[in-house]
Amino acid sequence: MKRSVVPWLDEPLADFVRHARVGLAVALEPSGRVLAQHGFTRSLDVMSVCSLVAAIHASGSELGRQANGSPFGPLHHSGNGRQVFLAPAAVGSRTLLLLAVFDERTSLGVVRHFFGTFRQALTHVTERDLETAPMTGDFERDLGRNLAMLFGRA
Amino acid sequence: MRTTLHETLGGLAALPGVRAALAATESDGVPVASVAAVDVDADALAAFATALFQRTRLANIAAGYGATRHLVLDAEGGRLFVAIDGDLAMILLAEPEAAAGLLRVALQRALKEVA
Repeated sequence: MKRSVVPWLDEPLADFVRHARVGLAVALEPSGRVLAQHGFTRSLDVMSVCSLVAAIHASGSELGRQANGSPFGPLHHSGNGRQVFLAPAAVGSRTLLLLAVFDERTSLGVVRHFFGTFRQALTHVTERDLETAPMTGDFERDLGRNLAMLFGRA
Repeated sequence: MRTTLHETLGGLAALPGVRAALAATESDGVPVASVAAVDVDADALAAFATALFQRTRLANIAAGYGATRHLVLDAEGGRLFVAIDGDLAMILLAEPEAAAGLLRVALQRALKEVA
């Protein structure tokens, strides 16, 4: 299942998923508001993942500020079979987070490379695009609406 | 005395026609060290060369050919060499007219030195 609530994310995310061969991908705001997803079949899973990702990113960024003087960059965790890659990308003056879950069909190097392509594609998003599909708003209302759209209930 | 990885890669990069020599983790496709021309994207080279090697290894296993020791790819614009020992991959990118035999032997020797 793949559908976004911000049309300018459709093509970059689809290209990233296809080329990097990741199984799951979700794009969200640092607040945890979901923007687009690929591979999830239950809205509850997306909600949980977005909450966790937002918390991880906030913690990592603050840790980076204190230990490094600036937020840390991409984060990679490796498990027995699956790995996660989490990284921020600039969209205009704002930031979105991309989480990808992948297995042995691809590698961290390949995922990192195509994340670079994804991030580059987002540099073409204009302020007008952002205005037609804004990344800010009422969190609770948007969360419910976005999940309904992503899972075909709207 | 065992030579360092950078010394080994420097020796490989100095061979005629070589544009990049790098070591990477085979499982992650992430470069460990590299000596490369400025226009070579070492991160992308490590990612795709190791991915190609992994696919080739799976294909050889599926075909019943056993373990893959070495991969050479000839393209219109250059040659790619990949050799792997454990999780260490050594990768060479060379000009099309580079001596393939010489580079192949040098890569195998280099891998033995650092593995």
